[in-house]
Amino acid sequence: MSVAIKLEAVRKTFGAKVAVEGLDLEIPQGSMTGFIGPNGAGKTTTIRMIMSILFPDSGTLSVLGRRSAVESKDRIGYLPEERGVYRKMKVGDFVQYMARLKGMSTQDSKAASNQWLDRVGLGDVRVKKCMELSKGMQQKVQFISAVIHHPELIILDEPFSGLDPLNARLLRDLIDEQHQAGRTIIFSTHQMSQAEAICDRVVMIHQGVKRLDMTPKEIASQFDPRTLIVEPVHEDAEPALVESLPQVERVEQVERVWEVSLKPGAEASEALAGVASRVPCRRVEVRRVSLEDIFIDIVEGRQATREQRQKLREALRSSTPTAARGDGAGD
Amino acid sequence: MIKILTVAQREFTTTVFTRAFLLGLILPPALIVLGIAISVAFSTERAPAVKGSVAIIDRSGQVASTLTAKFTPEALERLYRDDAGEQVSKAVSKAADQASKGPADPVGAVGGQLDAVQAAAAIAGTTPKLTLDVLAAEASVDVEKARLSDWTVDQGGRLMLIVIEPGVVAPKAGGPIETYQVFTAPKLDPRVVAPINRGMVHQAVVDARLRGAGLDPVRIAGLMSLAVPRAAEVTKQGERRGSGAAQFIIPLAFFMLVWISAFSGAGQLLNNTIEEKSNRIMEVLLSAVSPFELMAGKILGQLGSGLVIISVYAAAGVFALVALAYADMITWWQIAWMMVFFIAAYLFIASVFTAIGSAVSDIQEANSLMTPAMLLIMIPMFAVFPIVQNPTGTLAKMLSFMPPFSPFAMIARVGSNQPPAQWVIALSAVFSLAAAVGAVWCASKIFRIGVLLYGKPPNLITLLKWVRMA
Repeated sequence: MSVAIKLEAVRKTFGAKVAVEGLDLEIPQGSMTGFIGPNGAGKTTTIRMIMSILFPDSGTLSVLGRRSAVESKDRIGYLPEERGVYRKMKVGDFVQYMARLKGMSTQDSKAASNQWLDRVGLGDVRVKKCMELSKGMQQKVQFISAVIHHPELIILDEPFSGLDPLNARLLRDLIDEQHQAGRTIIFSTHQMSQAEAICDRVVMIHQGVKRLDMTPKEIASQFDPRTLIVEPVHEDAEPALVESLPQVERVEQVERVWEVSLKPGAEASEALAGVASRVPCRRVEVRRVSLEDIFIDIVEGRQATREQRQKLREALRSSTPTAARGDGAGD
Repeated sequence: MIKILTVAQREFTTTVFTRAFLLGLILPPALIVLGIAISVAFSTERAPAVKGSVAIIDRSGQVASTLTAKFTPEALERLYRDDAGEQVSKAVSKAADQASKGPADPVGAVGGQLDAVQAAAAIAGTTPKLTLDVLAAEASVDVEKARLSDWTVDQGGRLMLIVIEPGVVAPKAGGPIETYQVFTAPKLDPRVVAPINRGMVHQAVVDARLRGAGLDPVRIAGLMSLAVPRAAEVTKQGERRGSGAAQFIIPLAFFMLVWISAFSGAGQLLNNTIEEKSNRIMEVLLSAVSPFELMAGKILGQLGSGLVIISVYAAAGVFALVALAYADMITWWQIAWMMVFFIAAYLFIASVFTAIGSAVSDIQEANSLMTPAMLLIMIPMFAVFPIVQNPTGTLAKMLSFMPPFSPFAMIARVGSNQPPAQWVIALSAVFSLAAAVGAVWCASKIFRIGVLLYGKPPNLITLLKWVRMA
């Protein structure tokens, strides 16, 4: 099959709250999809429905060609947002146990467990108890248990939460590796920079509704911000020098940096040359679109004020994970 | 099935192969035995070492003299040290020697020896230091009584007053049979009073009556001195002491074995399930196994741990019985039934506890749901003694067919000296196992829903609703 996961018009409510509305999704086999959106957007709810932990109120769903993920348990690797370990088990034993639960033989699971622990740099803590691990180490262990059994489909809910930049980078590389091996991967995150780096599809969800479903290329072309970032050498340089360029719509000064918005249809490279010729600059670059910006644009509209954008930006970057509450509402 | 076994194996090994489990297996019985031994060694029926005087108004004129002869410190020592009953005969013979050897003034003789023996008693410090105070026969009872309320532990004083009317020793023909009166100071320890009352005074009055009838009290005492023999049981292996106590201990032991093993395993289940929920590992597990596989595996695993407990204790018990030559008191089929009823009891209780554990997110929340579970735990405890004492009584028969109590009631009956017929046992076993299977089914319904639910824990009604849902 070429489609690993397919959702059609899926809707999920928790009492009065609509968690997911009219969701259509097709995840091609072998792709790496990033689910992005702020906390409470509906990412975890969607993932739980894919995993048959929750069930949609209406709509259809198919996973690996079957009506329910339950039928393909051993071919799927899952890292839930709320994840724990058996605290009193030894690390090696824990990873092995998880592998065995997914259908690996005792022998294979032991070998794979040792291999993976060495790979992520946890070879020495194999005989330590899980509760002795730091948060970052625990996350790595949990990631291992999600992929150790060579699943075809890997679903990771907020895999980077709580990781320091170094470990986040390591995890990103590990995920990428799985992707290169041909596995279908979905991961959700509210840190959009993570998705930007490795995904070949980006799905944006906001308040239960899908707002975006594109490849990074498509995003780049559609959401070209048409902005230059200019950092003049002299602090007192006059923005008016640049404002008068034909390509330039307006210049906004933010501390030491000028954000130069270009007119629609203007050629960025020409504008760049023009700016450089008029003002001695430390730096002139075409601003690269960030998913965060796109998201804010989508949610607040292109006319959003700086304050509105800042507020939303801060909301996006806040890293409080949502706890699953009794009614299942949350993400 | 393999996944169930995998879960079961983990559950078993992480429970049994820990220091805590092994200690829990060995320590409690060892501590209980030690505790009993210590309390027996230190417990005492001995009277506290109070001091004071015992006053006597003897209006019969027959008793006071023998009493003073007997009121020696050595006699007191022996009186208070041993069982009052057994000491009567010894005190009598000793007093008889002294009376025959002593001078005409018994009070003086006693007084002379008092100092010497009191020194010894003071070193021992555990016998009441009492003096005998013979009052005039005409003394007013009310006046002399009044002094009793002045007695204190520190200062001493008069702590007992004995009044003997003439009719006590020489009852009038056709008249009412009187007895002597005993008055004591307030809050006087009964252990001080009883030996004087039962041991000395009572015997002295009886002796006076015997003499009044022309009989020799010493001779009569000798004739009456006869130990009551203990019955000897005759078994195929030979004779042994009577097993009276064992006949009640064995059914109790069967019961305790099943109770301890069943609740130990089930308790672990409760804790482990709650841990898996509060550690948030549940969702990961459920991506690999179904809720039923998870629950079944856990129940199976802890069945193993319960079996370890019951087997170890049963083996120890059998070993003890063999060592004490009581081996014929239990049979293999009793042990087999015990295992069957253990499984039934465990499955039922484990289901209840697993259901509770799955519905809550931490141990405190479990408390509100635990109340019905506590009933499960306590009712067999209350019922076991009546059932052991009366294995064929109504309570025993009723509970034998009322799951979840049926395994407990039945195993107590099976171990008793009046076990029920095999078909009755088998019927109860079938009932118990069927109920256990039903409990597992209900629990799986609750488990399925509860395991991923966090937040406010459901109450009992909600749980029952879940059972009825598809």
